[in-house]
Parts: sequence; structure tokens; C-alpha cells
Amino acid sequence: MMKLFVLAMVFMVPVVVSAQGSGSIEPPPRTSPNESANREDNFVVTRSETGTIVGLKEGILTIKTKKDKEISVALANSTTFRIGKNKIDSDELAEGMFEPGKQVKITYRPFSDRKSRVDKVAVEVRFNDEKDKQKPVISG
Amino acid sequence: MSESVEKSTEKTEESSFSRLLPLTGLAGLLISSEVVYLALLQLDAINGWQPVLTFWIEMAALFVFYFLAAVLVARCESIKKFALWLIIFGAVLFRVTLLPAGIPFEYSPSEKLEAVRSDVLGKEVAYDRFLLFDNDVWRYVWDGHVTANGVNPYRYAPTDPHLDVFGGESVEFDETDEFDELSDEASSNAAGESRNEATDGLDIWRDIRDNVNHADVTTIYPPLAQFVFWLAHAIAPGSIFVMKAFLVLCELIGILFLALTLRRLGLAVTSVILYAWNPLMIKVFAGSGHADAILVAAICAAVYFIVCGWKSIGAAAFGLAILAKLSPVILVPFVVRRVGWRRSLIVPGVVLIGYLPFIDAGQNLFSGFLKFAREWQFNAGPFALIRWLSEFVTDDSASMARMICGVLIFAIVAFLAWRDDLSDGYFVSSSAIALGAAIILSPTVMPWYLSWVLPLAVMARQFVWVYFTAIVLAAFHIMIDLNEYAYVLWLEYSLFFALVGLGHRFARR
Repeated sequence: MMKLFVLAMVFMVPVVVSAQGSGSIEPPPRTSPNESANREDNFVVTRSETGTIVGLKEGILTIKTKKDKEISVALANSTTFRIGKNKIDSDELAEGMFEPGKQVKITYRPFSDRKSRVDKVAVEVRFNDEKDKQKPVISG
Repeated sequence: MSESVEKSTEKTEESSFSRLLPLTGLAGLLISSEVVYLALLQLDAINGWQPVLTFWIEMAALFVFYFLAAVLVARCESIKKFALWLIIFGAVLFRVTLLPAGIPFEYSPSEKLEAVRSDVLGKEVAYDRFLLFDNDVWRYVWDGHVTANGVNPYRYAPTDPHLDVFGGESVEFDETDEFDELSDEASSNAAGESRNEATDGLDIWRDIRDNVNHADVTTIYPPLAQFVFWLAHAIAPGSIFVMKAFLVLCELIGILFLALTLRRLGLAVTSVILYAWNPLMIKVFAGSGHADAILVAAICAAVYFIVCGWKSIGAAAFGLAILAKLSPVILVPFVVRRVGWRRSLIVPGVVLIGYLPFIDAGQNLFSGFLKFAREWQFNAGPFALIRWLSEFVTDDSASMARMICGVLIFAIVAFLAWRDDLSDGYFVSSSAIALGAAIILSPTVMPWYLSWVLPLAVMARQFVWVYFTAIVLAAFHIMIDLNEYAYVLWLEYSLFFALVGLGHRFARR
């Protein structure tokens, strides 16, 4: 009897898993237009850095972080851009926005086995909101 | 005379040797585990084959040391007293070691220390968004922040514009201010000149808000969890380190109650090692900071008080367990029969008192939870089979599968309750089976859900759950390329059900 039980359980499992398919995760639908791009997928590991723009060359944005570390990220078609919390279309981007010295926050996806010029692809580039500048500086 | 003295000296030497050897072995396993935990801190936990494979190898090594240590402790009666101290020391050491997990892996130890300092002081967001592949902890920090500012976390999702000011965003105030819906304290924070007040004077909340996952869904964490989030915020606003430390503290309280319960049940206290050194538990709480640690403390306390016969306190602790996570609600039939009908009223009383401060959220009180229950599916086993079969009879296979699994869980609990002999052994055993079944039949089997059942499994000697804590690590394969692969799930659930069958076979023998 016990053997039958074990066999039944083990035979059941392939049926169970064949029913899964791949990518059967069902994240909730995005409902808020303000939702940040780095939540596209809850399993995509992203990192963020805030710093000043060093330059933009051939689609690669380089920034210098507060700790004087330079980080280069590739801008992709999927990269979203924001001014403050508001999303902007890529055709609204002006050259002046990428001027060296301007402050940005980049959220990027690091790749461990990417064999290209950069191992980080920008998920989101967030420019400072002009309104923020008029506010008093807050620091810890 | 001299012969007998010689014999006795030999015996003493033999006995100290027989003690020393297993103790040295246990200490060696402790040191080996610690080395691997330190290596885990250096893991660049990002998507891809290499990081996930490295993670699996390190966790596999930890599980090997863990199982060896458990066998050593179980087999050597002579070292039990000393072993307990080593177990406690290891449990604390491993957890403290993993608290900085999530701070950029490339930092040197001194840079990590500095990053922890900045995190605790709220100077910067020092942790990466993902802490060993998980990122739920940001929601706790955010919930603690809005609660401390007088906002009901069940009312607004983190992305809600009402909360912009608490996220350090620029907000323009006018007479038709949207904040008049918020509580008085929140309004004054938001509408005053001060974004400064609403952000505790810290420039970290925008980043923290950005890091929250499913930020368009209101919080799903019940009031006791919210209380712990608020408490951690009161000590160090925005600190991931302090939040994790609080959760680890809850877990350690749970371990203490587990050890006390083992003693009460007449079992070896040293078998607490099965929980205290479990690498999955250490990873998910100290490493990734999951809130289920609060449930571990509450459920272990409830079980201890109930088996001690302190029924009212037991009922209150059980109410707290439901306030930590809703899942223990399925254990109500076992608790009610033990504490009696009158005392069992304490349970809904405690739950009601817990929810009372948040009642103004109205229908939003459970909207996050219901959304989660309706829409999530991850690492599912039997649920997926039932769903697949349901596709032949209905278009809404997910709802059908949820209903069938719900009925199955109900049937299992009803069957266990019907056979209840009111003994302590049956209580822990049936509770472990009921909670375990709820996990296995769930559409979402997150690895940290096993913390609900593991303490009970240790008390009930149901080792299949201990083994499953290792097997469930397969779920992390999704971090390779964001896909769930059938063959991995096949392996995961084949092993689990085979172990269930084998367990039954051995038990009958």
C-alpha cells in the first residue's frame, strides 16, 4: 500500500510540473502610471546610483558617484526617463539634459556574464526636478 | 586499589576524549559554516547562472555542515550540555554575520562597517535594492515610516500621490489640498513647510520608496508586523540594518520558546539546532530580512504557553500570531479545543484590538492581501496540477484551483481536528501537518514560508519539512533568467513527495 502511495506521488509530480510551463509567475497588473520602471519585473535585480553626469558617448552614460566612483551604463530602448517623479518620453529629451555636472539617479541592471562594452544597462534615468532645487537642502 | 584508580583514570580520560571529539567536531562545523556565511556576504547576487550557481553551492555546503552538526548532536549524549552553548553561539553568530548582506559585495570590511553606520544614522541608502535575491524589506521600512507619520499604511499604496511628501517629492500645496484626507498629524506634516518633517529630515525616502516592490499595492502585512516596523523606525528611521536586527531578535525569541517547548515535551533541547542553524532560516531572516520572523516568535510562544497549560496567555499569543501573518488562522480548531471555548474568545479579541487602529482604511484593510491571494503564483506544485486539470472544465482555472486547494486544506484540517486526542504531541504534529499542507497546496510557495512550519516540525519530529528547507532553494532558479523551468519544479516536488512517502514508511516500521 505504502509503495503504491509513493509511486502515485512520484508519478503525479511530472504532471504537476508539466502544468507549470515556464515563466508562470503572475505579477499583479501595473495600475499606477507613476510606477517606477525598476519594478518591471520583481525578479530583475537592479541597483541604483546617484551622481553627476561625466558624459554621454555612443549611448553610454557615465556618471561620477558621491564616492568618486565612475559608473558607465548603456542606455537602451527600454530605458525610461523621468524628471522628478514624472515620466518623460525619449523624444522629450534635450541634449542639455545630459550636460556634464548635472545630477541624476540611474537605476541599472548589472549583468554577470555579458560580453559587451558595458556590463550595466540603464533601466531608468531620473533627472532632478527643477522644483527640488528651490527647496531647502535636506541632509541627515 | 591502585588498579582500580588506574581503571578509573582511564575511564575519565576515555570519557573526556569521547566528549572532546564530538565537541571539536561541532566547533569545526560551526567555524566551517561561519566561513561560508562570510563568503555569502561577498556574493554578487544578481541575475545570471554564475551568481545563482555560486549561491546554491554555498547554501549546499551550509546544509551539509548543518545536517552533520544535527547528526552529531543527536548521536552524542555526552556533549549535550556543552553542545547547547555552541548551538546558541552559532545561531547568534551566523545571524549577526549575515545582517550586512545587501551592502555592496565589493566593499571592504571597513567600508561595510561605514556603510552600516550610514544606514543606521539615515545618512544614505547603503543597502542594494536586492538583499541576497530578495527585496521585501523595503516595504517594511516604508510602512514603518508612513505609520510613524500618522498615515494608515493599509490606506495608500507607496506610489499613491498622497504619499509623495513622505517620499521627499516636491509637492505644491493649495487650498484644495489632497492631504485633507489624511489624519491630522499627517496633514500637519505634509502641509507644513516641511517636507523635512515628513521625511524625518532625512534625504533617503525617495530611494527607499523607489525600492519597494509591488509599490502600487497597499500593504499586506498585518498589524503586529506593522508594530514591529514602526518600532524599528522609531529607533533608526530608514535603517535596513536595524529592521533586520529587529526581525532576527524576533526569530531568536522564537528559538528560545522552541527550546523551552522541546524541554516541556520531553525531547532533547539540543534538537533546537534543526531550526537555529538552518541555513534557509538564517538566509531569509538575517540575510534578506523577511517579516515572517515575527510569526516564528508568536507561534512558538503560543505553542509553549498552550502545552504548559497557560491557556489564556496561549490564546493571546495565538492571536498575536494571526496578527503577524494570517496563515496560522487554520490552526484555530486545535487551539480552541485546548484553551476552551471561553478563553478562545481572547483570540478574536486580540485580533480585533490589533486591527482597531487601522480600521479607517475600510475596504482597503485587506485589499493588498486579497490581491496577493488572487493573483500571485510562484513555485507552485499540486496547485499547478489542479489548475492545469481545471483548464479542461473552466476558463477561470486559477479560481477553480484556488477553490479546490482551499477545500483540500479545509478537509485536511477537519480530518486532523476530528482525530484530535488533545495530547501535546498531537497538537504540534497536527499543526505542522496543517500549516505544511497549506504551504504545499498554495499557489505561492516562497522559500521563507517554510519558517511557519519548521519550528512545529522540529517539535513533532517531522523531518520532511527540514529536508524541504534545502530542496526549496531550487525556487531561486528564477533568478537565473527570470523563467520558471518545469524540470526544476519536477525535481523539487518529486523529492518532497518521495521524502513524504519514505517518512511514512519508516514511521510504520
